Amino acid sequence: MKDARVTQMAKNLIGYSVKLKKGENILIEVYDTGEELAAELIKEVYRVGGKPFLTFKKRSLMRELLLGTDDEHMALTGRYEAERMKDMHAYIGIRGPLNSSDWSDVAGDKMGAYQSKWYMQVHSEIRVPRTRWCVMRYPNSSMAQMANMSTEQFEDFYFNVCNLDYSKMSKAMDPLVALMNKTDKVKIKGAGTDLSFSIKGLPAIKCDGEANIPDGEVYSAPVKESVNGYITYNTPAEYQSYTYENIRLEFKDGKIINATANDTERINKVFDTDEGARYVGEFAIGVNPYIIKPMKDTLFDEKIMGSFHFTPGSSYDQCFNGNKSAIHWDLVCIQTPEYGGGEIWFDDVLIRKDGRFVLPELDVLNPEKLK
Amino acid sequence: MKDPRLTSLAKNLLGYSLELKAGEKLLIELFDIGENFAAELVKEAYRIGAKPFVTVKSRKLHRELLLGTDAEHMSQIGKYEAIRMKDMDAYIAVRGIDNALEFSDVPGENMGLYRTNWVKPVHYEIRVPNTKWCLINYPTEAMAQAANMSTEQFEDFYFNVCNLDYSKMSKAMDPLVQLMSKTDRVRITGANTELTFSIKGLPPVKCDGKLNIPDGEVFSAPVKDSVNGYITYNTPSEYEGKLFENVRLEFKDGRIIKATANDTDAVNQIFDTDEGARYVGEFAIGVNPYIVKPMKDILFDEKIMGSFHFTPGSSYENCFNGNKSSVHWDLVFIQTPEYGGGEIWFDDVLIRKDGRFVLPELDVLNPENLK
Repeated sequence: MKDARVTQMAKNLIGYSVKLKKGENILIEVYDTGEELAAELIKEVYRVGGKPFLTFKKRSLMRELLLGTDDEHMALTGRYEAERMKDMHAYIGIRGPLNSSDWSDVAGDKMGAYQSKWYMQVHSEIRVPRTRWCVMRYPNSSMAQMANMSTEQFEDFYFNVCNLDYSKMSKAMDPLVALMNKTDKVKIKGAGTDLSFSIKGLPAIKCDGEANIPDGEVYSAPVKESVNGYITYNTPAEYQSYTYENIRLEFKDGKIINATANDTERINKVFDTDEGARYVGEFAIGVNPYIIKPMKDTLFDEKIMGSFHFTPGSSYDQCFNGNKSAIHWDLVCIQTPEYGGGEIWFDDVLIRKDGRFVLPELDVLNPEKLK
Repeated sequence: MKDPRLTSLAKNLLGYSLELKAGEKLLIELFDIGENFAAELVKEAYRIGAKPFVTVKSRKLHRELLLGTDAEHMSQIGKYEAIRMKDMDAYIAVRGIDNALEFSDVPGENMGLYRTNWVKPVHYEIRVPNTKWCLINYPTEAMAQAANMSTEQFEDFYFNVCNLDYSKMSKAMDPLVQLMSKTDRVRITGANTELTFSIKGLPPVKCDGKLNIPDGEVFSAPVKDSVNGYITYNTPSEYEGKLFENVRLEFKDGRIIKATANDTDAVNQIFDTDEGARYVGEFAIGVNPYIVKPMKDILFDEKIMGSFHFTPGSSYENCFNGNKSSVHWDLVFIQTPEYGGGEIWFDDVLIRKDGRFVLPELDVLNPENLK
């Protein structure tokens, strides 16, 4: 059956997110589910005069390949894919895993071979730097279950979130970007939270539906050694298949000096991964008006309206604060009244209270204005 | 869930059909359905020490690609696939058909672009001449329905047919091959059928599970101008999405001079495709002991035990009688008692009566000796 929302989403993705032009090549990559969307994307690509290419991945079969692989095999597989990727102008990845834990029994060294020989060669070295790309989830029963929703309810939620007017959101983000670019001191308060740091000299960047769907955050990074105080995250977070809750971090001059959680020993091992894992690489403000509660999928949770995330680990190239690490763990704190409220202050001016922007020029980012 | 019959089928295909060796590269191409089976093939390839590669095709999405394509686009996809194919030592296609008529509304011109610019360079110019290859249908609801069987019944049938001991069948075919090699005149009788032709000088070829699964036929070709008489096929046959029944052909000096069927106009259109379409390119004897009735899938029907097929159109290179055509239409006649019986005579000696071989040296090919 054809869902009109899928057609709409295909139009948004091709026209707005990757801005495909006549004569351009686009690779559409489907993981497990999302065939309906891929079909609509192909139609839309032809409509704008582009050339669609398609690759279909079954994660259960990729698992079988990974179980017996080696570096050479992965490199060869990557090479076949790289030949195609280097001709592409745009890329859309539809990730609808039937079982998100499908690869949980693939040995670490095999996953390493996949990451470093196949994925890096095709995605990190070609797709990310050279194409206009957009990666998204696709709603299926597995994701609905993870979000504690019925499948229909989840689909409604998903299409609201994904078919949002992202061009409107993008414009609405401009005043916040301008404000953050001239901000030095940030103060964050909330239940079990009293944090201060500087974002001086670090650029604010919009995530407005071009590279990820769903989207909706403006991010920057703290000056590496400026973070002091403590934070208690109120959103569960998964890391290597373990769900952490009640994470509390205490900082001194940028460094996590005390970390507790439902499994304190385990979480400290995560932060002991390397030196950079105890410093923060990202500070971001979530504004997606349709995402209002966590569902243990970072791509959604980090965009929750009225939330922010404060991310231990490496910082992005576009907003680099000098911190490097093998981890980048987006931990989310929601400040809406339902989640206990909280305040964000920039240079001693209150800008968001209990999840709502209070400065007049930022009112455009409040949820009712973005729907 | 894992069906142990899939595991033994995977072993048979890689061990017997493809004779896959350690270090060799195998491409597994999956169409639509058969993921479980592809997983077993990957496992078995690794067990042998070979290197498996996987490509998954969704015919629904394939259709979308074909609907808007052009020659350049098809060549470009063909190029990417050719890069991989030319590294391969072996190839296996698993075709799990979801809807056999998925391409029925793709215009003929687009199908032509696909065949000429994608299939031909990848498959006819690289895969067929340079790899060990095998094609197999995977049992699906759609196939069970076409066979008028329940899905479970069809699966049982399928695994009987596919897990047959093909090496035994191959040996059992040798006496028939020898006999056909020295045969000149063939005479075939049956209900509304009285046919004579010569197979002198045309080498018989065994189809013994190396290239197709299911398998089970020995084919040759009639000397092009030698066919005289008439035949009334008793098996329904699909051609380009249309079902034909009661096809009756009358021959003079090799040429079809009269053709009638449930749709006489349509059948004559096929035979008017080109000059070669009115001549016969193949004569073959079916011997698969588990295939006893037609199911409108030619890969099965042409192997029905006690049947033969007599094929208007082009002849194969390994048994070439000089006839070329873009048509190669395997029309099947079943001679078992249930289908009205019939006889095959070689040089005035009766060799098969009512579907059973009567010469002692051919008894090995009767169904009870192949099971």
